[in-house]
Amino acid sequence: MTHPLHILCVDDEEDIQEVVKLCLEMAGGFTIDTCTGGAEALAYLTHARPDLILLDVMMPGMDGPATFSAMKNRGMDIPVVFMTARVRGAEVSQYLDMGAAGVIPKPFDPVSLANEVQQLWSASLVKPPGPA
Amino acid sequence: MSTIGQAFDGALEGLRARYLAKLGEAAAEFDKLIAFCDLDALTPDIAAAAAGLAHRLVGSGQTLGFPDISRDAAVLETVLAADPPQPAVIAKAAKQLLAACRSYIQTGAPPVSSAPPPMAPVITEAVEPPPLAGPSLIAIHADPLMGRLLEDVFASHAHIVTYPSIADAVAPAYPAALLIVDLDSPGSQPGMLGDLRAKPGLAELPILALTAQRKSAAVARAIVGTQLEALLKPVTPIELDARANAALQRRRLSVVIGDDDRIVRELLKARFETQGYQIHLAHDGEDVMTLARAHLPSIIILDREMPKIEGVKVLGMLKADPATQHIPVIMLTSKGQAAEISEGRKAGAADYIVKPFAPDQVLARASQILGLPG
Repeated sequence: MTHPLHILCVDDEEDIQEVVKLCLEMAGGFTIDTCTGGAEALAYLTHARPDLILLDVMMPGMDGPATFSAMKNRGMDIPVVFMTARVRGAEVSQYLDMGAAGVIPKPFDPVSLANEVQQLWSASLVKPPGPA
Repeated sequence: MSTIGQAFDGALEGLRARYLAKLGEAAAEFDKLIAFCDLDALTPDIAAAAAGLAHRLVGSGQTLGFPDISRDAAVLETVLAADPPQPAVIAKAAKQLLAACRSYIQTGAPPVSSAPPPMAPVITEAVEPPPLAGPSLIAIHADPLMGRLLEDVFASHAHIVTYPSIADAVAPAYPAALLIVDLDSPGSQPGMLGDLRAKPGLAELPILALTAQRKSAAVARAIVGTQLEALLKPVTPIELDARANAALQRRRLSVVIGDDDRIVRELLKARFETQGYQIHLAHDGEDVMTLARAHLPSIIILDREMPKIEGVKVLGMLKADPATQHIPVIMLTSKGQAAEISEGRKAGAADYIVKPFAPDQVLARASQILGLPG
């Protein structure tokens, strides 16, 4: 059985959610689900298993890194790609050290997002998520 | 240009037009920020709110084709982070960003550079999906042997969600049918059952508690207060299956269908009845609230335009009430505009179906949301 890539996008910002959904659905042919926060994402993940999660860093309530930690504590091994504005080098290595599959800086280029996500997903198959 | 490219451009254009309207709202906020700075009345709360807004604009501006917004918002975010804050500098950066917002609002969105090359849909080998057929079951235990027993008995027909302790357990996004808890581990003492019941979404769930503490007074007290059934270890698979099935049968699937159109109600009723749902029909918003609170249905189908209380408001009330907030809601609407749909999504709708629809489509979405087959 085969299926198109299934991506969960977690972002509190509606504009970003919709542009990500648009780019990945129309340009990439992926299936996208969206959540607006960490708690909602954790609840979603109790009944679904996407291939990859795009996780905003700065969100009200449970932020991206906290959500990622909670996922790991629950034994989930889905590749996670952080999306964040004003990203700095130290931040990127911090997320990669946590075991993230990648970091996509915001603003991003809608035209190449689908390609970028697909590459990060392919890479995550070869290299399993880092130290838990 | 390819058809996919044109469709993509058109859809992106729609998002950009809406984003322009949001820039108008953001401009009003920066106007206020400048006024606070000019009056030397900037408070940490106002600065933090402005920094949050600026941060979001950094990420979204250029993404949606407004590069000046990202650039000027980044400057504002930086100066807002300075300690101590310098109102004159902040006001200057805010004015720059405000000018960028206004310039885009006046001249409209700059043209999109190019459409993405159409990619072939990515086909991958399927990862073994979790068994989603049948009802969900929440298991709380930290015992590998217990895990194996539950797998043996339930994995073929139920979706098992496991938490190591009562403190870890959270309400599922969609109603679970049964909760099984092992009361013999440190993280799941009988005295904690009250905490479990206090969690939203878990209050009404039938609970099967497994314990080897045959004569424990704590277990006895816990059982009295929490409408729970206890099973004494060792438990055989046959015994566990029988007790779980009995508990599940007491909790049949039910649906509240809220629509002022009798034909829509009857169509949906007929479809849902074939799947064994218990049906509650409501013809206005007030009815929906009454029936939802009285029956705590598995799912609610809600028309957007209804007398007395309109759909989006009903949705808000359902989500604000701890008793009903876990119930997934499918909104029906004759308006298919993106803004309407995102408004409903924001208010917590699990899905949105645009009329005219096939009743089968509604049933299929409900089954999917509830994790049922078909």
